[in-house]
Amino acid sequence: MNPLEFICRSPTFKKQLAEMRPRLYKVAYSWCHAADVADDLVQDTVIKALRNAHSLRDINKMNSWLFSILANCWRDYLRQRKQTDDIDECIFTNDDTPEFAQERQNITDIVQQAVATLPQGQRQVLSLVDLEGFSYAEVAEIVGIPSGTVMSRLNRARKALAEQLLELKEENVLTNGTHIRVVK
Amino acid sequence: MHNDPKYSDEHLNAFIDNQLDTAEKAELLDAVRHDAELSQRVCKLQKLHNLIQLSYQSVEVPEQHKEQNQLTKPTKFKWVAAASFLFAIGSVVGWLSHQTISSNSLIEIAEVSHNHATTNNAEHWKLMLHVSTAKPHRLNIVLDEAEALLEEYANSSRNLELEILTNSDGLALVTNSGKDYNKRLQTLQQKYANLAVMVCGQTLKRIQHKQGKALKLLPNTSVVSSAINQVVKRQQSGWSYIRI
Repeated sequence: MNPLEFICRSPTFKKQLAEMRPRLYKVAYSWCHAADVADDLVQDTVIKALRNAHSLRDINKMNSWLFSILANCWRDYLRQRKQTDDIDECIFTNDDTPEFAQERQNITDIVQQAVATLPQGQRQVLSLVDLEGFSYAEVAEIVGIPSGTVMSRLNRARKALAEQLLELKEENVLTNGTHIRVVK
Repeated sequence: MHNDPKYSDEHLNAFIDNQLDTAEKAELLDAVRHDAELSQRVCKLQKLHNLIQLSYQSVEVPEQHKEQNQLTKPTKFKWVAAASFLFAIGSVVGWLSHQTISSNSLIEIAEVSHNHATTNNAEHWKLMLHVSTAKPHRLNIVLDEAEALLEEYANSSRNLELEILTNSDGLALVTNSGKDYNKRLQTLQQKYANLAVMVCGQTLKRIQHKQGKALKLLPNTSVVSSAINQVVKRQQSGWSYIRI
Protein backbone atom coordinates (compact mmCIF):
# COMPACT_ATOMS: atom_id res chain seq x y z
CA MET A 1 0.00 0.00 0.00
CA ASN A 2 1.33 3.43 -0.82
CA PRO A 3 1.53 6.10 1.92
CA LEU A 4 -1.17 8.25 0.30
CA GLU A 5 -3.63 5.40 0.35
CA PHE A 6 -2.87 4.75 3.99
CA ILE A 7 -3.31 8.39 4.97
CA CYS A 8 -6.63 8.48 3.12
CA ARG A 9 -8.00 5.50 4.92
CA SER A 10 -6.50 6.37 8.30
CA PRO A 11 -9.66 7.98 9.76
CA THR A 12 -11.66 4.91 8.75
CA PHE A 13 -9.04 2.68 10.28
CA LYS A 14 -8.99 4.58 13.56
CA LYS A 15 -12.78 4.76 13.70
CA GLN A 16 -13.10 1.02 13.17
CA LEU A 17 -10.37 0.38 15.69
CA ALA A 18 -12.22 2.45 18.31
CA GLU A 19 -15.48 0.67 17.50
CA MET A 20 -13.83 -2.71 17.88
CA ARG A 21 -12.46 -2.01 21.33
CA PRO A 22 -15.52 -3.24 23.30
CA ARG A 23 -15.63 -6.43 21.24
CA LEU A 24 -11.94 -7.07 21.73
CA TYR A 25 -12.37 -6.47 25.45
CA LYS A 26 -15.27 -8.88 25.73
CA VAL A 27 -13.34 -11.69 24.06
CA ALA A 28 -10.17 -10.87 26.00
CA TYR A 29 -12.19 -10.99 29.20
CA SER A 30 -13.66 -14.36 28.26
CA TRP A 31 -10.11 -15.68 27.85
CA CYS A 32 -8.62 -14.37 31.09
CA HIS A 33 -11.64 -13.48 33.29
CA ALA A 34 -9.70 -10.61 34.86
CA ALA A 35 -10.66 -7.02 34.06
CA ASP A 36 -7.15 -5.62 34.42
CA VAL A 37 -5.55 -8.30 32.26
CA ALA A 38 -8.25 -7.92 29.60
CA ASP A 39 -7.73 -4.17 29.59
CA ASP A 40 -3.97 -4.61 29.17
CA LEU A 41 -4.44 -7.12 26.38
CA VAL A 42 -6.76 -4.78 24.48
CA GLN A 43 -4.45 -1.86 25.06
CA ASP A 44 -1.50 -3.86 23.68
CA THR A 45 -3.61 -4.95 20.75
CA VAL A 46 -4.60 -1.38 19.91
CA ILE A 47 -1.01 -0.16 20.14
CA LYS A 48 0.25 -2.99 17.93
CA ALA A 49 -2.57 -2.40 15.46
CA LEU A 50 -1.67 1.27 15.17
CA ARG A 51 2.02 0.47 14.78
CA ASN A 52 1.40 -2.20 12.16
CA ALA A 53 -1.50 -0.62 10.32
CA HIS A 54 0.54 -0.75 7.11
CA SER A 55 0.46 -4.56 7.21
CA LEU A 56 -3.32 -4.65 6.92
CA ARG A 57 -3.84 -5.03 3.20
CA ASP A 58 -7.61 -5.33 3.16
CA ILE A 59 -9.64 -3.09 5.49
CA ASN A 60 -12.53 -5.56 5.20
CA LYS A 61 -10.42 -8.11 7.06
CA MET A 62 -9.73 -5.76 9.91
CA ASN A 63 -11.82 -7.71 12.42
CA SER A 64 -9.98 -11.01 12.05
CA TRP A 65 -6.67 -9.13 11.79
CA LEU A 66 -7.33 -7.43 15.14
CA PHE A 67 -8.32 -10.68 16.81
CA SER A 68 -5.13 -12.28 15.45
CA ILE A 69 -3.16 -9.54 17.18
CA LEU A 70 -5.19 -10.07 20.35
CA ALA A 71 -4.49 -13.82 20.17
CA ASN A 72 -0.77 -13.09 19.83
CA CYS A 73 -0.89 -10.73 22.82
CA TRP A 74 -2.68 -13.40 24.82
CA ARG A 75 -0.12 -16.00 23.79
CA ASP A 76 2.70 -13.67 24.86
CA TYR A 77 0.96 -13.06 28.17
CA LEU A 78 0.57 -16.78 28.83
CA ARG A 79 4.17 -17.45 27.89
CA GLN A 80 5.35 -14.88 30.38
CA ARG A 81 3.01 -16.22 33.02
CA LYS A 82 3.58 -19.90 32.57
CA GLN A 83 6.88 -20.99 31.11
CA THR A 84 6.50 -24.74 31.32
CA ASP A 85 2.86 -25.69 30.68
CA ASP A 86 1.33 -26.35 27.30
CA ILE A 87 -0.76 -23.21 27.09
CA ASP A 88 -3.46 -24.82 24.98
CA GLU A 89 -4.12 -27.42 27.64
CA CYS A 90 -3.68 -25.13 30.62
CA ILE A 91 -6.73 -25.14 32.92
CA PHE A 92 -7.36 -21.93 34.80
CA THR A 93 -8.89 -22.06 38.23
CA ASN A 94 -10.21 -19.28 40.39
CA ASP A 95 -9.63 -19.01 44.12
CA ASP A 96 -12.90 -19.79 45.80
CA THR A 97 -13.24 -17.07 48.43
CA PRO A 98 -16.45 -16.64 50.46
CA GLU A 99 -17.20 -13.50 48.44
CA PHE A 100 -16.79 -15.38 45.23
CA ALA A 101 -18.93 -18.25 46.47
CA GLN A 102 -21.70 -15.74 47.12
CA GLU A 103 -21.24 -14.23 43.68
CA ARG A 104 -21.62 -17.64 42.13
CA GLN A 105 -25.25 -17.65 43.12
CA ASN A 106 -26.10 -16.04 39.87
CA ILE A 107 -26.01 -17.89 36.62
CA THR A 108 -23.77 -15.49 34.78
CA ASP A 109 -20.96 -16.01 37.23
CA ILE A 110 -21.43 -19.75 37.14
CA VAL A 111 -21.34 -19.84 33.36
CA GLN A 112 -18.28 -17.59 33.26
CA GLN A 113 -16.66 -19.79 35.88
CA ALA A 114 -17.40 -22.86 33.77
CA VAL A 115 -15.90 -21.18 30.71
CA ALA A 116 -12.89 -20.06 32.78
CA THR A 117 -12.08 -23.63 33.78
CA LEU A 118 -11.98 -24.89 30.21
CA PRO A 119 -8.51 -25.54 28.82
CA GLN A 120 -7.20 -22.32 27.32
CA GLY A 121 -7.24 -23.58 23.74
CA GLN A 122 -10.88 -24.64 23.98
CA ARG A 123 -11.91 -21.42 25.67
CA GLN A 124 -10.21 -19.32 23.03
CA VAL A 125 -11.98 -21.10 20.18
CA LEU A 126 -15.33 -21.08 21.96
CA SER A 127 -15.19 -17.31 22.56
CA LEU A 128 -14.28 -16.49 18.99
CA VAL A 129 -17.14 -18.62 17.65
CA ASP A 130 -19.84 -17.87 20.24
CA LEU A 131 -19.12 -14.25 21.09
CA GLU A 132 -17.74 -13.00 17.79
CA GLY A 133 -19.37 -15.34 15.30
CA PHE A 134 -16.18 -16.06 13.37
CA SER A 135 -16.24 -18.97 10.94
CA TYR A 136 -14.12 -22.02 11.73
CA ALA A 137 -11.71 -21.03 8.96
CA GLU A 138 -11.33 -17.53 10.40
CA VAL A 139 -10.74 -18.91 13.89
CA ALA A 140 -8.13 -21.28 12.47
CA GLU A 141 -6.35 -18.32 10.93
CA ILE A 142 -6.62 -16.12 14.04
CA VAL A 143 -5.38 -18.76 16.45
CA GLY A 144 -2.98 -20.42 14.03
CA ILE A 145 -4.35 -23.98 14.19
CA PRO A 146 -5.97 -26.29 11.60
CA SER A 147 -9.75 -26.05 11.06
CA GLY A 148 -10.15 -29.64 12.26
CA THR A 149 -8.59 -28.68 15.56
CA VAL A 150 -11.00 -25.75 15.83
CA MET A 151 -13.90 -28.15 15.44
CA SER A 152 -12.60 -30.69 17.92
CA ARG A 153 -11.76 -28.04 20.53
CA LEU A 154 -15.16 -26.45 20.12
CA ASN A 155 -16.88 -29.80 20.47
CA ARG A 156 -14.93 -30.71 23.60
CA ALA A 157 -15.61 -27.28 25.08
CA ARG A 158 -19.34 -27.51 24.50
CA LYS A 159 -19.52 -31.06 25.82
CA ALA A 160 -17.72 -30.04 29.00
CA LEU A 161 -19.94 -27.00 29.45
CA ALA A 162 -23.09 -28.99 28.78
CA GLU A 163 -22.11 -31.47 31.47
CA GLN A 164 -21.33 -28.77 34.01
CA LEU A 165 -24.27 -26.56 33.21
CA LEU A 166 -26.80 -29.36 33.06
CA GLU A 167 -25.76 -30.26 36.59
CA LEU A 168 -26.27 -26.61 37.42
CA LYS A 169 -29.76 -26.77 36.01
CA GLU A 170 -30.58 -29.74 38.19
CA GLU A 171 -29.02 -28.46 41.38
CA ASN A 172 -29.17 -24.72 41.40
CA VAL A 173 -31.81 -23.36 39.12
CA LEU A 174 -34.72 -25.71 39.15
CA THR A 175 -34.57 -26.07 42.91
CA ASN A 176 -34.20 -22.35 43.47
CA GLY A 177 -36.94 -20.22 42.01
CA THR A 178 -35.41 -16.95 43.14
CA HIS A 179 -33.93 -16.18 39.76
CA ILE A 180 -37.29 -16.42 38.09
CA ARG A 181 -39.38 -14.76 40.75
CA VAL A 182 -37.16 -11.70 40.86
CA VAL A 183 -37.98 -10.68 37.33
CA LYS A 184 -41.74 -11.19 37.42
CA MET B 1 -24.88 -34.70 24.29
CA HIS B 2 -24.15 -37.81 22.36
CA ASN B 3 -23.14 -38.89 18.94
CA ASP B 4 -25.69 -40.06 16.42
CA PRO B 5 -24.25 -42.31 13.70
CA LYS B 6 -25.52 -39.89 11.09
CA TYR B 7 -25.39 -36.53 12.84
CA SER B 8 -22.40 -36.20 15.11
CA ASP B 9 -22.12 -33.42 17.68
CA GLU B 10 -19.48 -31.83 15.46
CA HIS B 11 -21.98 -31.75 12.61
CA LEU B 12 -24.65 -30.15 14.82
CA ASN B 13 -22.11 -27.65 16.09
CA ALA B 14 -21.32 -26.75 12.51
CA PHE B 15 -25.02 -26.25 11.88
CA ILE B 16 -25.46 -23.97 14.90
CA ASP B 17 -22.39 -22.02 13.85
CA ASN B 18 -23.62 -21.71 10.26
CA GLN B 19 -20.72 -23.67 8.83
CA LEU B 20 -22.72 -26.11 6.71
CA ASP B 21 -23.47 -25.55 3.06
CA THR B 22 -27.01 -25.03 1.87
CA ALA B 23 -27.62 -28.68 0.96
CA GLU B 24 -26.33 -29.94 4.29
CA LYS B 25 -28.44 -27.42 6.18
CA ALA B 26 -31.54 -28.38 4.23
CA GLU B 27 -30.93 -32.06 4.91
CA LEU B 28 -30.48 -31.47 8.63
CA LEU B 29 -33.53 -29.22 8.83
CA ASP B 30 -35.56 -31.94 7.20
CA ALA B 31 -34.24 -34.48 9.69
CA VAL B 32 -35.02 -32.12 12.59
CA ARG B 33 -38.59 -31.86 11.39
CA HIS B 34 -39.09 -35.59 11.74
CA ASP B 35 -36.92 -36.38 14.71
CA ALA B 36 -37.83 -34.87 18.08
CA GLU B 37 -34.65 -36.20 19.70
CA LEU B 38 -32.46 -34.61 17.06
CA SER B 39 -34.42 -31.39 17.47
CA GLN B 40 -33.70 -31.50 21.20
CA ARG B 41 -29.99 -32.00 20.55
CA VAL B 42 -29.91 -28.97 18.26
CA CYS B 43 -31.87 -26.97 20.83
CA LYS B 44 -29.50 -27.98 23.60
CA LEU B 45 -26.50 -26.78 21.63
CA GLN B 46 -28.29 -23.58 20.73
CA LYS B 47 -29.21 -22.98 24.37
CA LEU B 48 -25.60 -23.45 25.41
CA HIS B 49 -24.56 -20.96 22.78
CA ASN B 50 -27.24 -18.53 24.01
CA LEU B 51 -26.20 -18.92 27.61
CA ILE B 52 -22.58 -18.14 26.82
CA GLN B 53 -23.60 -15.07 24.84
CA LEU B 54 -25.88 -13.83 27.60
CA SER B 55 -23.29 -14.43 30.26
CA TYR B 56 -20.84 -12.10 28.55
CA GLN B 57 -23.44 -9.56 27.43
CA SER B 58 -22.71 -7.21 30.31
CA VAL B 59 -18.92 -7.31 29.93
CA GLU B 60 -17.84 -3.82 28.96
CA VAL B 61 -14.57 -1.96 28.80
CA PRO B 62 -13.72 -0.39 32.17
CA GLU B 63 -14.15 3.21 30.96
CA GLN B 64 -17.73 2.51 29.99
CA HIS B 65 -18.37 0.88 33.33
CA LYS B 66 -17.26 4.06 35.04
CA GLU B 67 -19.36 6.33 32.88
CA GLN B 68 -22.52 4.25 32.98
CA ASN B 69 -22.16 2.58 36.33
CA GLN B 70 -25.67 3.34 37.49
CA LEU B 71 -27.19 2.26 34.24
CA THR B 72 -25.27 -0.95 33.68
CA LYS B 73 -25.75 -2.47 37.11
CA PRO B 74 -29.48 -3.09 36.88
CA THR B 75 -29.05 -4.14 33.27
CA LYS B 76 -26.49 -6.72 34.30
CA PHE B 77 -28.78 -7.98 37.01
CA LYS B 78 -31.61 -8.38 34.59
CA TRP B 79 -29.50 -10.25 32.04
CA VAL B 80 -28.47 -12.54 34.86
CA ALA B 81 -32.12 -13.14 35.58
CA ALA B 82 -32.75 -13.79 31.92
CA ALA B 83 -29.89 -16.23 31.72
CA SER B 84 -31.33 -17.99 34.73
CA PHE B 85 -34.69 -18.12 33.12
CA LEU B 86 -33.39 -19.42 29.81
CA PHE B 87 -31.76 -22.20 31.71
CA ALA B 88 -34.68 -22.88 33.95
CA ILE B 89 -37.20 -23.41 31.21
CA GLY B 90 -37.55 -26.96 30.09
CA SER B 91 -39.28 -26.19 26.85
CA VAL B 92 -37.45 -25.93 23.55
CA VAL B 93 -39.13 -22.80 22.33
CA GLY B 94 -36.80 -20.29 23.91
CA TRP B 95 -34.28 -19.19 21.36
CA LEU B 96 -31.60 -16.63 21.12
CA SER B 97 -29.01 -16.33 18.46
CA HIS B 98 -26.78 -14.01 16.54
CA GLN B 99 -25.49 -13.76 13.04
CA THR B 100 -23.70 -17.10 12.96
CA ILE B 101 -26.80 -18.99 11.92
CA SER B 102 -29.12 -17.74 9.25
CA SER B 103 -32.26 -16.23 10.69
CA ASN B 104 -34.30 -18.17 8.19
CA SER B 105 -33.05 -21.52 9.46
CA LEU B 106 -33.41 -20.36 13.01
CA ILE B 107 -37.01 -19.35 12.56
CA GLU B 108 -37.76 -22.64 10.89
CA ILE B 109 -36.22 -24.62 13.73
CA ALA B 110 -37.99 -22.51 16.32
CA GLU B 111 -41.28 -23.17 14.57
CA VAL B 112 -40.60 -26.89 14.31
CA SER B 113 -39.53 -27.02 17.94
CA HIS B 114 -42.64 -25.14 18.93
CA ASN B 115 -44.72 -27.72 17.11
CA HIS B 116 -42.84 -30.59 18.77
CA ALA B 117 -43.28 -28.99 22.18
CA THR B 118 -46.86 -27.80 21.98
CA THR B 119 -48.91 -30.31 20.13
CA ASN B 120 -52.17 -28.88 21.49
CA ASN B 121 -51.63 -25.37 20.27
CA ALA B 122 -49.46 -25.79 17.19
CA GLU B 123 -51.81 -23.67 15.08
CA HIS B 124 -51.14 -20.58 17.15
CA TRP B 125 -47.54 -19.42 17.18
CA LYS B 126 -46.28 -16.53 19.23
CA LEU B 127 -42.87 -15.27 18.20
CA MET B 128 -40.65 -12.49 19.42
CA LEU B 129 -37.86 -11.13 17.20
CA HIS B 130 -35.30 -9.20 19.19
CA VAL B 131 -32.85 -6.77 17.60
CA SER B 132 -30.16 -4.80 19.39
CA THR B 133 -28.02 -3.57 16.53
CA ALA B 134 -28.33 -0.58 14.20
CA LYS B 135 -26.65 -2.32 11.27
CA PRO B 136 -29.02 -1.75 8.33
CA HIS B 137 -28.59 -5.24 6.90
CA ARG B 138 -29.54 -6.78 10.24
CA LEU B 139 -32.55 -4.49 10.59
CA ASN B 140 -33.59 -5.49 7.09
CA ILE B 141 -33.24 -9.16 8.02
CA VAL B 142 -35.69 -8.58 10.87
CA LEU B 143 -38.11 -6.90 8.49
CA ASP B 144 -37.63 -9.53 5.77
CA GLU B 145 -38.34 -12.33 8.22
CA ALA B 146 -41.27 -10.53 9.79
CA GLU B 147 -42.81 -9.72 6.45
CA ALA B 148 -42.42 -13.28 5.14
CA LEU B 149 -43.93 -14.78 8.27
CA LEU B 150 -46.82 -12.34 8.46
CA GLU B 151 -47.64 -12.93 4.83
CA GLU B 152 -47.36 -16.70 5.15
CA TYR B 153 -49.62 -16.85 8.18
CA ALA B 154 -52.09 -14.39 6.69
CA ASN B 155 -52.58 -16.85 3.84
CA SER B 156 -53.04 -19.86 6.07
CA SER B 157 -55.46 -21.01 8.73
CA ARG B 158 -52.79 -20.75 11.41
CA ASN B 159 -52.45 -17.78 13.71
CA LEU B 160 -49.32 -15.79 14.40
CA GLU B 161 -48.63 -13.17 17.02
CA LEU B 162 -45.40 -11.41 16.17
CA GLU B 163 -43.58 -8.96 18.34
CA ILE B 164 -40.46 -7.04 17.36
CA LEU B 165 -38.49 -5.96 20.41
CA THR B 166 -35.73 -3.38 20.13
CA ASN B 167 -33.13 -2.33 22.63
CA SER B 168 -29.66 -0.79 22.64
CA ASP B 169 -28.65 0.29 19.11
CA GLY B 170 -31.66 -1.59 17.75
CA LEU B 171 -33.75 1.47 18.58
CA ALA B 172 -32.67 2.76 15.17
CA LEU B 173 -35.43 0.57 13.76
CA VAL B 174 -38.20 2.42 15.57
CA THR B 175 -36.74 5.92 15.64
CA ASN B 176 -38.65 8.22 13.35
CA SER B 177 -35.67 9.18 11.21
CA GLY B 178 -37.09 8.60 7.75
CA LYS B 179 -34.80 5.70 6.86
CA ASP B 180 -36.06 3.03 4.49
CA TYR B 181 -36.30 0.45 7.26
CA ASN B 182 -38.38 2.87 9.37
CA LYS B 183 -40.81 3.26 6.49
CA ARG B 184 -40.92 -0.49 5.89
CA LEU B 185 -41.76 -1.13 9.51
CA GLN B 186 -44.53 1.46 9.45
CA THR B 187 -46.02 -0.14 6.35
CA LEU B 188 -45.96 -3.56 7.99
CA GLN B 189 -47.63 -2.19 11.12
CA GLN B 190 -50.39 -0.65 9.06
CA LYS B 191 -50.92 -3.84 7.10
CA TYR B 192 -50.82 -6.43 9.89
CA ALA B 193 -52.71 -6.09 13.17
CA ASN B 194 -50.87 -9.09 14.62
CA LEU B 195 -47.55 -7.25 14.55
CA ALA B 196 -46.53 -5.38 17.68
CA VAL B 197 -43.42 -3.25 18.04
CA MET B 198 -41.79 -2.72 21.43
CA VAL B 199 -38.94 -0.59 22.63
CA CYS B 200 -36.88 -1.04 25.80
CA GLY B 201 -37.69 1.68 28.33
CA GLN B 202 -34.23 1.45 29.90
CA THR B 203 -32.48 2.09 26.59
CA LEU B 204 -34.90 4.88 25.77
CA LYS B 205 -34.25 6.53 29.12
CA ARG B 206 -30.50 6.23 28.67
CA ILE B 207 -30.51 7.72 25.17
CA GLN B 208 -32.83 10.55 26.14
CA HIS B 209 -30.68 11.31 29.16
CA LYS B 210 -27.57 11.39 26.96
CA GLN B 211 -29.16 13.53 24.25
CA GLY B 212 -31.09 15.75 26.66
CA LYS B 213 -34.27 15.52 24.63
CA ALA B 214 -37.12 13.14 23.88
CA LEU B 215 -36.58 10.59 21.13
CA LYS B 216 -39.16 10.54 18.35
CA LEU B 217 -40.47 7.02 17.89
CA LEU B 218 -42.62 5.61 15.11
CA PRO B 219 -46.37 5.68 15.79
CA ASN B 220 -47.79 2.54 17.45
CA THR B 221 -44.54 1.73 19.17
CA SER B 222 -45.03 0.55 22.74
CA VAL B 223 -42.50 1.18 25.48
CA VAL B 224 -41.87 -1.73 27.84
CA SER B 225 -40.13 -1.34 31.19
CA SER B 226 -37.06 -3.16 29.92
CA ALA B 227 -36.17 -5.53 27.10
CA ILE B 228 -35.14 -8.29 29.38
CA ASN B 229 -38.33 -8.14 31.41
CA GLN B 230 -40.26 -8.43 28.19
CA VAL B 231 -38.18 -11.40 27.01
CA VAL B 232 -38.72 -13.22 30.29
CA LYS B 233 -42.41 -12.37 30.37
CA ARG B 234 -42.95 -13.64 26.85
CA GLN B 235 -41.00 -16.81 27.35
CA GLN B 236 -42.99 -17.57 30.47
CA SER B 237 -46.08 -17.28 28.31
CA GLY B 238 -44.73 -19.79 25.79
CA TRP B 239 -43.45 -17.42 23.14
CA SER B 240 -40.59 -18.41 20.88
CA TYR B 241 -37.71 -16.00 21.02
CA ILE B 242 -35.15 -15.25 18.34
CA ARG B 243 -32.49 -12.61 18.54
CA ILE B 244 -31.34 -11.42 15.16
